[in-house]
Amino acid sequence: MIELKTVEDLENYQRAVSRRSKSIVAAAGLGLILTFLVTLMIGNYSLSITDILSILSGMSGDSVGSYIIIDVRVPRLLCCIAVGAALSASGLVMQSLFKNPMASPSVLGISSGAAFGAALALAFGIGGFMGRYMVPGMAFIFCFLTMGAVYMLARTKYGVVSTTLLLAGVAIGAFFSGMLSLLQYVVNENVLSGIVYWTMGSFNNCGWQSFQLAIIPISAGLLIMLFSIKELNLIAAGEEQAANIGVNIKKLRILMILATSLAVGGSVAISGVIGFVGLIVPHIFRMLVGPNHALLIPLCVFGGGIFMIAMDTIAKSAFAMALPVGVLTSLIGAPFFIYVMRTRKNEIWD
Amino acid sequence: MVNNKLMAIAAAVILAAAAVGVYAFLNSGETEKKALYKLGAVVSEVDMGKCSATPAVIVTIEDMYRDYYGDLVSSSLTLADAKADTEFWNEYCSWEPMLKANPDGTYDVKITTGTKGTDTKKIPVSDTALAMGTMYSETLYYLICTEYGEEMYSDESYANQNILDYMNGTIAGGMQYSYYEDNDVDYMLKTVSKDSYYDLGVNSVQSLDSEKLTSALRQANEKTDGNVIYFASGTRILTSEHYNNNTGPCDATESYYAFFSPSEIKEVFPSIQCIGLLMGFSEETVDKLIEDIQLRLYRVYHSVQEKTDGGETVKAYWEGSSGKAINSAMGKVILNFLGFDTSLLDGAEHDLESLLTDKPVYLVWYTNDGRNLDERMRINN
Repeated sequence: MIELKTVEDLENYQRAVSRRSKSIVAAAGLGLILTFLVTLMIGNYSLSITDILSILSGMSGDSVGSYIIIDVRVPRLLCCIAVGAALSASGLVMQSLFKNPMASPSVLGISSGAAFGAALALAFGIGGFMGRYMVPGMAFIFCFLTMGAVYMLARTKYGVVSTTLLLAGVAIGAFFSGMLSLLQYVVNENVLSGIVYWTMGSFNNCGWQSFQLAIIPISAGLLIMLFSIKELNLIAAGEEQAANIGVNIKKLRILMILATSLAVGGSVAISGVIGFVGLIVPHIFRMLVGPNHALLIPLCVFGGGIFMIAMDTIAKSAFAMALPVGVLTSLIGAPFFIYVMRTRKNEIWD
Repeated sequence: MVNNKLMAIAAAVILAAAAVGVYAFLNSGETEKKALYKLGAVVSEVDMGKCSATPAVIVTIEDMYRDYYGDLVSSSLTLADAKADTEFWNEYCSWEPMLKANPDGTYDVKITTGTKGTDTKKIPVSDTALAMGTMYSETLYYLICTEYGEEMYSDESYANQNILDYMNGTIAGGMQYSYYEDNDVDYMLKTVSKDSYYDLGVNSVQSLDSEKLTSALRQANEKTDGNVIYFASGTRILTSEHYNNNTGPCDATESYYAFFSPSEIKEVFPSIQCIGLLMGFSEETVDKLIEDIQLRLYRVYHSVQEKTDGGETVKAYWEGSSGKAINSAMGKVILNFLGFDTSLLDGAEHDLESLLTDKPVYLVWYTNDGRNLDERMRINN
């Protein structure tokens, strides 16, 4: 235990903590860049490191290799980073906002709503006016419809209570899951396989257009979260205390729901439903650096990106048949989460 | 005490008698009169791969006809008779070509696209194909058999070296080879070597890995001096965000692509023409195959009309391996063609009671259904 006897000791300690925090965030950022570069070399099309370097430097005359790197792998990895960052940061914010370690984007029913929206597009062509963006567009629209429905349901004459909001989310999520099951029951087998594949989550079809589609809502969502770090730290200590020192709880709650909806909507629109990322990544970093959101949010952004790239690379390359990445995150995520829940829960939340 | 003993003995005798009764009942051969067996319906098992809008649909139609009705009424009908029956010809055989020949030897082909539904692409004749969907490899097999005068699926066709060389040299890869193995697709297993086949690892355009497709197209291009074409089934899934994932590798490797979505019997013919001409078959071969299918269709159609003339339309029930009635357009077209009421083909699950109430006279399942016949007949219900 460090003894802080003077103001100078305190300032030195704060500087040390700040330096350490910056180092951790910088290391995570560096880790993300390294992961990106390493995984750029892994894929089902054979390219040597020399080939890749010459393609990246613009010296290569190999048009097929250039297509693979520039039009397939780079946008796919960028989509992985965007989705990993969005889901992890959203999970973190949800857990802090609801003071519930099990909270994640799916708890508010957002993922179920998006899945139902996408399934409507796949089954009946609803949203056809959006052309090739019909499926992601419907997923995104239903994210916001779900959010609106949850918020309206949770509103009482005394305002919106976190617990009510959470329960409304669970109810709406269950409703959309039921509707999705109904859709899966009535559609023919071709459409069913499309819906099932979409609900498993995959980056298989992510190109530059997907990245362009997702980056604006995801960036907007993450920026709102970053600008609310102070309030999130205060609310983590308790809603009443936060309200007493001037945090507008109602406004913060709406802002955070909007931010997570933007981030999750953008993610689900391009990759489908990928589970457990919003649970695993925030918990890992909470264990490592504690509850400070100034550290946690950037770490979740970088760490989420690293985690998602790693999962996608394993999913597409490690098996004879490429697996949907959502299957892999669930297979790895569930045991990990059980481990965390049973061994470290007190350290994380008490 | 005596009474207790007597009661115990009586109870034991009753139990033994009941056990013997149950055993005798279960082994009396009565099972065939239970559940859906009570309907006394005709049962068919059909090959799922031959139930879509491909040349092989004629095999399914002929088999189903034979199962339910028996022999054809007349085998001497000609194509002229078919054309003279305008109701038949207009409904099942009149078709518009999807391609137009250009003076430079290329074709303008109407294909399914991502945003506009259909588009026209200029495609030259190719000598190598990657096929995502059985309709393409099957059509090529039908065409090459027609060219060499061999009967489809016959041992002679599998032994004909010209056919073997063509299939092995032309179909460079595509959907999972294990699909052909699992479903006993003989025309592929016996003509295309697994060793030279580039397996894309999936059976659907939506889960295709664009790097794998690029590798396959590049390898195929390296093996030939001609052109390589990628065929895929143009379902609605392909018209959405999966489109670029399928076309990008073709553009990058300077290969060609064509996606078709036949969903009716008469759409089989332009598909055959497109695939045939794009793969270098003569118009004569293409026409011969199309006319052969049209004539065989008419012989079944004519026989159905003769056998059902004036009679009440009866119901048929066709169930997928998921246990639900199928809801495919082609399934309905086939059963309508064979003279059945298709109102039970609604995609829903039909339990024993509802089927006994609806009284279908013809039950159809797929050959690859994992359930045994008793299970399909709801004998365990």
